[in-house]
Amino acid sequence: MSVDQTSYSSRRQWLLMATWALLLALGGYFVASTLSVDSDLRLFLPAAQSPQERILLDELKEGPGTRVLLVALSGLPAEQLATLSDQLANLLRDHPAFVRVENGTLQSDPTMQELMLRYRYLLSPRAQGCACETETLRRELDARLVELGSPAGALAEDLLLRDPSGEMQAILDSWLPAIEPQLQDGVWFSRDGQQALLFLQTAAPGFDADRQRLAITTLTEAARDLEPSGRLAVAVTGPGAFTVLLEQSVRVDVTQLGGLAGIGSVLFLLLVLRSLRHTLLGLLCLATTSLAAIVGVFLVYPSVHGITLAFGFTLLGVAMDYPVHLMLHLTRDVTARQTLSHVWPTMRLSIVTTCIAYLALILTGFTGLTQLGLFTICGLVATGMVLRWVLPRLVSPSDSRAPPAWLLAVDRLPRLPALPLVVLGAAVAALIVSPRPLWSNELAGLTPVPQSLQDLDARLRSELGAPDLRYALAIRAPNAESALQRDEALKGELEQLVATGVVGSYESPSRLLPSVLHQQQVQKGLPAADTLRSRMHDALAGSAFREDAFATFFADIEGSRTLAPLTPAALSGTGLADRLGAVLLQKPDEATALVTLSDVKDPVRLAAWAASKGNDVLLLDLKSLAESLIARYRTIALAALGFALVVIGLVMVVQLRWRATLAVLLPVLATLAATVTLLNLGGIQLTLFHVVSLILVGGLSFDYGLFFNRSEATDDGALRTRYSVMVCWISTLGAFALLMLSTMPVLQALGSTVALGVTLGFMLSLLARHAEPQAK
Amino acid sequence: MSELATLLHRDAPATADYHEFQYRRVLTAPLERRGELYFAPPATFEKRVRLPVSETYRIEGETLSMAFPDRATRQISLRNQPLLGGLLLSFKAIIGGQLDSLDSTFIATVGGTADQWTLDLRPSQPDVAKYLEVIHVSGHRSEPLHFEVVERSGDRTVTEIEPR
Repeated sequence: MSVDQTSYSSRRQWLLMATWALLLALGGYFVASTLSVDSDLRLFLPAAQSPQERILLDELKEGPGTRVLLVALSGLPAEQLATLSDQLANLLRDHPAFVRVENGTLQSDPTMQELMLRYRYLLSPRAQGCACETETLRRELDARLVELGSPAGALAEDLLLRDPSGEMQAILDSWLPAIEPQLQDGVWFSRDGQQALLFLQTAAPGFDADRQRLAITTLTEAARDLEPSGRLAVAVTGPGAFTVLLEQSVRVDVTQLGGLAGIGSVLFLLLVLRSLRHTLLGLLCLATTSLAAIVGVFLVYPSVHGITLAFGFTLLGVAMDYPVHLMLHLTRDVTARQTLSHVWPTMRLSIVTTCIAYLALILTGFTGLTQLGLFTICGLVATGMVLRWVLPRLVSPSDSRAPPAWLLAVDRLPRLPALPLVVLGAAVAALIVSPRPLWSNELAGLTPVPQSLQDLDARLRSELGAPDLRYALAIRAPNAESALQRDEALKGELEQLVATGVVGSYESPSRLLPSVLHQQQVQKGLPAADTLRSRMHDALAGSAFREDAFATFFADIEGSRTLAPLTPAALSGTGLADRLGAVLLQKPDEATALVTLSDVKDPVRLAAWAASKGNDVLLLDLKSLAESLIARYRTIALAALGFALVVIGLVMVVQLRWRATLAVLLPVLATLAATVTLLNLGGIQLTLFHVVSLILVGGLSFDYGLFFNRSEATDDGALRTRYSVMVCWISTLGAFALLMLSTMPVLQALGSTVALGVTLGFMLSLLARHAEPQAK
Repeated sequence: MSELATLLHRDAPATADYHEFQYRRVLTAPLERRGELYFAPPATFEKRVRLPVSETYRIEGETLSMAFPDRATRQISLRNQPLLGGLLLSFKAIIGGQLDSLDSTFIATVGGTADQWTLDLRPSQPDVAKYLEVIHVSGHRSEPLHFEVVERSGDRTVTEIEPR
């Protein structure tokens, strides 16, 4: 009878496990098919506090700067590269994924040409809109005559006669960028002549991974079709390229490293547990934890940040420790439920305190950290529930194994209760005297992009003359029109700043599109038909031009007097709209005009001038803004961490006693301090991702301390506890050492920080362990 | 054709003065310009305008650089400028004796003798033919002496070359 019952029970257990696995597979399939990953850096930044910060964050999110892709073609002789650059540019210009494609060749955009021609007097940089006084006309006509004689001018005879005052050229000249890239064989080249350069603007924002991938694939496939030999190297940088790279890296790392880690943990579990059933159960627990974590984030957010996902999966290794503790504590003569009730209080304390630490991440209010906190808490809670209610029914005490005999040697290691204090003191002292700054304040420190690619991006930007946008003036107004008017009103003072050497040059949005008010004033000033004819008659005295050659000019001036002024909306679909959109940011209830300032020589006087302009004119120093954002972010994250430590300490004092609390917490503090010091001595400046890694190190060391300091009823129990902690440390070390193989620098840093930290934590907790096992 | 090519072939750099008259419908008098033409094998050609203003047009491979007195030098690719390219390349080909480079843009007809030869170039590409009717060239032995560019509109540019 009893044999029947056992076998029935065992069969029912296998059936339960199969059902569990099936449910997980279904859930996993659902998640995999709906998983959407994004890479918006803003999710890892705090909310804006000042208007300046808001503008910076808006720019980071959707600004036209995020739509820029920079392309370098290399690997072939310059002439071939130039031809390929042209062919590629022509193909991409016809593709809807790209709104702007520039490679240095003069573009004839007929719509744009037509628009400019029609509105040339309203768009002209000249104050009067037209050089239409008799004297100025005479000078301009002489210049046109010279142009007509030149090879290029002769081809443009119609335009010269239609625009004798030269407004088109005046507009084009005023739109020229301050620095132009070097031209070779008619297209842009790097200064060393090895790379043909292209500047692209995509239709999709930089953080739209799917559409950016489509754009980049289009580009690379077109290049391969043009030059199938494989000798052409195509490098693409820019926010969109980084987004695609990040997403691919996460995918590759999650599948490849995840696969390796999976195989590794199966082998390790088999080796340690020496039970197929327990190994399978361990894997089911891990899968449940992962699924619960992802689903938890999905219930709140439409998509998961790539970094959350990558970090999160590594955090799940922690959750794996609990089932291992349970299984290693099983003994043949005790039921699983009894074993659980024995280790459960420690596990519960560990789970609750870890959840508190991650709750602190949620409280920071940054979406990225909130996602990470939510991810981990959901996973941990699911693990706790499985541990409490599912595992005891499925594990089998008869599969239990005694700890290996050599473990007794570990037990004979000396106890050094003062060691954590010594390490803590030494680490803090070393940090204080260390000449190296502890923190990295660069926004770039948050970019998960490899340094080599960042360097390439910076080099391409400088080669392409994209200005180093450190300083800009933001002019805020209720709408685009008033922003443009204010911009125009500042022109005189900006010229003054250039003249007195405070700034090298500036570019105003109103230079691309004057305000409606300005255009109307110009219209009023344009001469009436009779006046213009008589001025023209005087100006042409003694000129080689025939007087009747200018019919189109007269008609255009007359037409311009009654044209409806050009507004930003009327530009949509033209190349000018893209350029204007980059410097005139429009929202339903406000508009911001950005005046870019290049070559700022006297920031102090510039700031003083801007401060005197009132609230609607803000000086943006993008570098210091970004740095203060990062610094504030870190302060909040560290405050949250400190808060978590205090709460955890309180929980423990209630649960344990003062001495026990200190015995657990001191090694944790010493571990954190020593890890930070070693990183600093190793030349690494900490970023936010190190903080997240340290939170994980803290949590794991804390668990080691809790278990090492457990009051055990028996020597065997104490031995099993040490064994299970050691097993947990080795498996964590293995997983994070594997992470050091990641292609993403962020994950490499996480891997090395945690591998170093948990090792320190394990050693310190072991050596500082509390008194002998004592009877309850 | 090949005889003419042999006559015109050059291995050393060459410079010649030119004197140009443009007859245009919109002008009451012809437009006059002077300057020099310069060719250095294998592929450099410059048209240096001296009067009434100083301008330099330089073709190097397929790149045209334009230098004007009070403005930055501009570079454009002739690949995208069939008309301007066609005009300048015809001068380059004849001054530099590289007649085979004309094949892609013009249909050439040779006449006369080595002492008094003529060459007519008619555009073969529609883009160019829309604007350009024909280029008449004539010369004596290895020296091209006279260019006449006739536009569809009837406007003409006559260039006299004075070898040094």
